[in-house]
Amino acid sequence: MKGIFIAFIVLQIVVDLAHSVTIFPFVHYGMFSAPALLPDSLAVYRVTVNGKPLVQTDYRIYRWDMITGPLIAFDQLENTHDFAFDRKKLKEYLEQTGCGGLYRWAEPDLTNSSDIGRLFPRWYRQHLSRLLGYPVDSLRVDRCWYDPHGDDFQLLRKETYINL
Amino acid sequence: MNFTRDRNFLLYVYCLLYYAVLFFFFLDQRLLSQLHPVFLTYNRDLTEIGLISTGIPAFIMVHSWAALVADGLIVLLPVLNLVYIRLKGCCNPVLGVVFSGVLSVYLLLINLFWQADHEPFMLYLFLSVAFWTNRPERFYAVLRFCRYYFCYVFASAAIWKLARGSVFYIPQMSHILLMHQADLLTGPCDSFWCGVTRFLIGHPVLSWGLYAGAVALELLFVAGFFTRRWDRLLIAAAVLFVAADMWLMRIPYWTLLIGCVTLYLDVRPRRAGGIVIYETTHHENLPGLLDLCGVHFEKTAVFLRRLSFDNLSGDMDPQRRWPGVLFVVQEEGVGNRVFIVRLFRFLRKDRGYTHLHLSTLDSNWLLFALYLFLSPDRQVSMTVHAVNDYFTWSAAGVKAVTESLAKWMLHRRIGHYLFFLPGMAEQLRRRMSDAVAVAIPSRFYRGNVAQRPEGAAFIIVIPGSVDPHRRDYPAVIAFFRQFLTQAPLRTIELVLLGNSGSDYGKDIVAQLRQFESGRFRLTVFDGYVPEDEYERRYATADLIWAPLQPQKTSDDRPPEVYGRTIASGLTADLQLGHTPVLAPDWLMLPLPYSAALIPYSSLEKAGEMLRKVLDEPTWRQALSTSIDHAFLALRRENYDADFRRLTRLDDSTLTITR
Repeated sequence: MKGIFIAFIVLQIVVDLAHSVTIFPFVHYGMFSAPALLPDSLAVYRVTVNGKPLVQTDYRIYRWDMITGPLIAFDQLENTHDFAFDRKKLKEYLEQTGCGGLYRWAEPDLTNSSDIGRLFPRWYRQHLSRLLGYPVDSLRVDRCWYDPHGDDFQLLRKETYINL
Repeated sequence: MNFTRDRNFLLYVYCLLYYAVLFFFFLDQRLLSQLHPVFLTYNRDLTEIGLISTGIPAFIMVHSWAALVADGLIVLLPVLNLVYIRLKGCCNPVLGVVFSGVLSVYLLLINLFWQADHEPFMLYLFLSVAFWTNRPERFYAVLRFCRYYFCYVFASAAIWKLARGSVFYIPQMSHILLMHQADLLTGPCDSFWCGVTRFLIGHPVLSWGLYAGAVALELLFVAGFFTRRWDRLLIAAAVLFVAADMWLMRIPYWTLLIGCVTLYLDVRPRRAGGIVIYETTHHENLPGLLDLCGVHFEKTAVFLRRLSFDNLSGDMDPQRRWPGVLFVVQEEGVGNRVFIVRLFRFLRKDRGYTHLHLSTLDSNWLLFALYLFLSPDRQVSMTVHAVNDYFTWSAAGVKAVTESLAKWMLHRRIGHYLFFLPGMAEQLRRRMSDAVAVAIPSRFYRGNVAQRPEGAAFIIVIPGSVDPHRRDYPAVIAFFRQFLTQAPLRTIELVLLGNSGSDYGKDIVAQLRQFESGRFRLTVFDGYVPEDEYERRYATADLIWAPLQPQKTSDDRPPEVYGRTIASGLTADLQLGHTPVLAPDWLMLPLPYSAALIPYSSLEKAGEMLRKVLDEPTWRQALSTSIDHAFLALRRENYDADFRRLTRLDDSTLTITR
C-alpha cells in the first residue's frame, strides 16, 4: 500500500514537471503561475439572444461558463483544425515506439465530425435554450477584440461568429 | 481514532459535497445527458486521448441513451455505496472499485465535452478509494495519502508560481484580472464586482499583494508534509483561499474543500502508547487501574490532587510502587479549571497519550464535555461512581443545567465505562445498551496477608467518615448500648476509621464515649485519616463493620442503592486484607466479595454474630482463610481482558497497535 502511494507521488511529480502534458489522474496545479503578459488584444464573445445581449453578472459562474465555454472550445477546434497538431504528435510518438498500428486502429475515433462546422451553431442555439430556459428565436454571437492596454477597453475589431 | 465513526463521517461529507457538485451540474446543464455533446476537445492529457481512442466519447455523442446511462451511474453508485455501508456496516469492495472507475471515466468525459478541468475533482476520485476497503489500516492509509495530496495541490501551485517567477512580477495580478475578467470588464461595468476588479487592475501593487498573499497561503501547506499540528489552520487557509478565488477571480474551486476532511480527521498511525487518568478525590480507586495500565500501556500519566497523591498508596511512595507512572499533581491553590486546561494541553502536546480515563468526575462536567467534543479522535473511558446520578437531569440552577447538558454530551461521547461492581455495570447496560461496561476492582488482592496475633483487645473498625447519609450511626450506638449490658470476654476497641470532626461526628462520638469502660474503648480521628494510617488500622481489625444505610441520600443528588447503583468504599477496602465484614443482609455483593460478609438482619442478630466472632476464634480463623481463598480471584490477571475491552485495545476498528 505504502509503495503504491510513493509510486503515485513520484509519478505525480514527474508528470507535474512535464507540465505541458498530463496523464490523468496525474494532473497539474500550475494555474496562473506563468507571468501574465498582456496580449495585443483580448477576444471576447458577445452573445445576443432574441435581440438581448447576455451579461455575465446576470448569471452564476458555472452558467456563464456554459454560455461561453462551448464557443471558446469550438473556436479552439477550428483554429487547430480539429487538433491536428496533437494527433500528429501522437502519431509520431506511437510510430517511434513501434506502436503505429495502435494509432491506425484508433484513428477513426480521434477526429470530430467533419460536419461539425455546420452542426455547431444549431447545437449551440439548442444548448442555450436549455440553459436559459426559454426558446431562442434569434441568436447572434459576435467575436470582439479589445485593446487591453488602455483604461476604456477600446473595441479594435468585431466579427459575426454565429447569426441564426 | 475510531474507524467506523471516521468512515461514516467521511461517507456523509463525501456524499454531501459530491451531490452538491452534481446538483450544480444539473442546474447548469452540465450532466452529459443534458449537454447532448456534438464535439470533443483535446486537452493534452494522454489518458483522455486513450479514452478517445476507445470510441466511447464518439459513441456517447451519437447515442444519447449512453449519456443517460453514464449520468445514472454517476448519480446512483454513491447512493448504493451509502445504503450498503449503512445496512451491512461494511464496504462492498466491488461497488467501491466500480464507482471509482466510473467516476474516472466521467471526469475524463466532462473534460472532453465541456472542459471541466479535473483538478478540483481529483480528491473525489482518490477519496472514493477509501470505500474499497474494510481494513482500518488501509482506510487510514488512503486518507493519509489524500491529505498529502490536498497539501500537494496547494504547495505545488505555490512552488510553480515561485519557480516560474510570476510572484515576482508586480503587474501579475492586475493582468490576470484583466484577461480573466475580460467578459465582465468589456460589458456594462456597473456592478460592484466590476468596480472592485477595475480598482484592483488600476492598483497593480495592491493586487500583487493579494496575489503574493495567496501564494503565502498556498505555501502554508508545505508545513502539512511535516506536521499535523497546523491542520486546523490549514483548513482555515483552504477556506480563505477558495473564498477569495471565488470572490475575486470567479473561479468556483469550492469543490476542492472536500480535502479538508483529511485535515480534520486524525489519520495518523499510532501506537497505544499512553493513557492519562484524571482523578480528584477517590484515590482509593486508582491502585487497580494503575496496576492494569502498567501492564497494558507503555506510559501512564495521572492528573490528581495533592491529597490524593499523598494518600494513593498506604505502604509506600506512589512513585516507587508505580515507577513508570508520571504523576501530575494539582497543588494547593491551583484552581480546578486551570488544572483541567493543563490536562488537555498535555494531551494535545503529547500525542503519544492515546487514551483518557476519567476516574472521578465530580465537578466541571461541562468543561470536560466541551474538551472531549473538540477532541473526537481520543479514546475516552470513565468510571461512574453513581449510576442514577449519571442519568439524572435537572434544571434547578445554572450548575444543574450545565451538568445536565454535559451529561447529555458525555453520553454521546463516551461509550466505555468502568464500575467497581458487576451490578452497577448491569444497571448502566440497561440504560445504554450500546455501551461497554466492565467491572474491575478498585484494587487487587495481594494475598498472603499475615495473620495478626491475638491481641488484648478485639478491634472493630467502622471505615469511612462519620456521615449520616452513608452509615447508620444511631444504630451503632443502639447496638453497643444493648451489647455492652452483658460484659464481653475481651475488651472491645471500636475504631471509627474516618473523619469524625463534623458536628454530626462529634455528637456520635460523644454518645459512644458514654460506653467507654474497661471492656470498651473508642478510637476516633478528627480530620482526614492518612492512607498509611488507614491501611494500618484496617489491617489490625478483627472485624470490619459496615452499618450502611440502604440508600445513599443527598440534598442535590438522586438516591443511590448500595451494591446496585453505587459502590461503597467497602468494596475498595475489602482487598486490603481478609477480615470478615459485619454488614446488613440487604447488601448484596457478588462473589468473591460476598465471601467476606457476615450478614445480619437486625441488631439482635448482629449481636449474636459479634459474640460468635468474639468467642470462637477458630471459626473466625476459618472464615479468614476462606475469604483469603475467595479473594484470590481478585488478581489483576483476571481483569486484563475487561481492561482491554474498556480501553478498546483489542478493537480492530481502532488502528492502534502495540
